[in-house]
Amino acid sequence: MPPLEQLETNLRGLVFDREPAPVPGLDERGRRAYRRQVRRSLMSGVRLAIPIARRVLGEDAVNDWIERWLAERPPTTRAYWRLPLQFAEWLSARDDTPHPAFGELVHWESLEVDVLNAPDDASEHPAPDPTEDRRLVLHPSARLGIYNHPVHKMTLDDAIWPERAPAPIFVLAWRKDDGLRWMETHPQTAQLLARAEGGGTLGAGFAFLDTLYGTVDRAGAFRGAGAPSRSRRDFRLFAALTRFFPQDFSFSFRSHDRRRLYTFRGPCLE
Amino acid sequence: MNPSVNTKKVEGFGLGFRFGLADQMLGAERSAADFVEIAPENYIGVGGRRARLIDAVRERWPIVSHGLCGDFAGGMPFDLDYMRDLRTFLKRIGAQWYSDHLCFTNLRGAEMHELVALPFTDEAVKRAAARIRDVQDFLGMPVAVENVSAYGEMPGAEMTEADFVAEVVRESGGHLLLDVNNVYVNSVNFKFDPRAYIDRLPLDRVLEVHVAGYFQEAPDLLLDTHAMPISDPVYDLFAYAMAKLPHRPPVLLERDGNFPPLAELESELARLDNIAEKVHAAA
Ligand SMILES: [Fe+2]
Repeated sequence: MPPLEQLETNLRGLVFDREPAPVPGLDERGRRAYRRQVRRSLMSGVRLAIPIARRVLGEDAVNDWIERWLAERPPTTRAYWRLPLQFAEWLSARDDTPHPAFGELVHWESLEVDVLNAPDDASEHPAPDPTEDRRLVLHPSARLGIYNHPVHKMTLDDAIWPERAPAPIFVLAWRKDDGLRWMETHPQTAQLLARAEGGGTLGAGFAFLDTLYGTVDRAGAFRGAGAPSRSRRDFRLFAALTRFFPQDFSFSFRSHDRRRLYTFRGPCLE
Repeated sequence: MNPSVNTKKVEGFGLGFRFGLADQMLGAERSAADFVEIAPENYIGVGGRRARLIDAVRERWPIVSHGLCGDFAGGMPFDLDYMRDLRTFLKRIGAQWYSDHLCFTNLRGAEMHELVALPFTDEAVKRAAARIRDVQDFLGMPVAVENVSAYGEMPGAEMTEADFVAEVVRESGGHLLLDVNNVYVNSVNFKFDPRAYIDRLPLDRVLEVHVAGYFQEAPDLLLDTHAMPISDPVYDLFAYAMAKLPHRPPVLLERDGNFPPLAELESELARLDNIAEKVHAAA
């Protein structure tokens, strides 16, 4: 191995492994400083995004899980804000976490970062024409979380592990006014959204609904359909689609300090 | 919907644009900063509040773009997808040049989000020079490398740090971003004469100068935290560098944490400006 490559391998072991690997030729001060600086930078990038998980599990335990992640699957992203997402992705695949809701909570807290930084909806959409079989497009900030525990209702002041829900919870999250909004959604709606993400069309979406609910009045589905933001056709579409699940149509948001939950239930569809 | 880009030439004294300073900088009616520097990794592919911030910034100030994850001498292949995104972004903000650090930022695929010193070897010079040439060709704009603060000397050194930096700049045909604070930090950490270091550099290739504050961790260990005011010896070294430079490159104050009121940073900028003026008048 050429010296530069060998050094990279040694340094990687020094900064990422659970026990610092030796780097022949680098003095103790350098080894200690670099290991500490790199780990401090990466760990604080994750920790900042998951305050509720830290509160409920405890700082030491969370640090330990972040350190395992660093050793097993070091980050590959150049975007500092994406670090918690990569941690959450790794954690989601583990089945040995101290509580079954831990991975879900980290996923949910990281999802917020993802939603808040997601690209803007750059396209100018014409008013939706329900008779046209156009492709369904979700707002670029829309994300779907599927949880066995209502982790999305946890706050800093109410940081105790929740009971397992009787059935999986489908949470649709999106960005509005620079904040996170979410609503629990019907499994079938979630399925429809998943199809939309895969390039489904409005016609296919309606056909899918038809199989569930009989033939629906397509024009009526759009009449007067409000949405979280009038400027976002994607949500008008979504609101129209969720019209068939009126029990779904309330959305929630959390205060910036993650202490309070608000739920908005509006007559927004009529 | 499509804010204009400030096309004023980058010169004078600038400030690093950081989220922790955004409200103060954008809220101030007048700005002491002649230009700003941003880290592209924080904005590429991002919407929402951050995207609006960058739009507001590019309207108000000319921008230079300072990368954090360039890994110029690292072993990873040229990342064409990322470089395309970077090029699009730099064009969108009207960046006048691109700079990054002369150090490891990625170790065999693992991103560190921290700057780790390179070995001062011929092999590293060649690797870095080749990558800088590729980046400069691909982006179609000047590329500068910055000398970094270091906390340990990597094994196998075949030259001094100053000669290493100089070699990379010469062999790549790129430019130098001279960080005066980093020279000072290393002169304490590795006990060398910071003025002699500056004398060894290709000063005619300096595109931009950085100044910042360090944190004294131990008598013989300074950390480049960018979270403190500029210290007196760094002001002195800045005066020395200004006197030696054959031209007057733009100077940027980096402050990344422990943010003071903007007025404090502006008075630091004014002090740097004063020093540069005095040096210039004496010449
Ligand atoms: Fe710098």
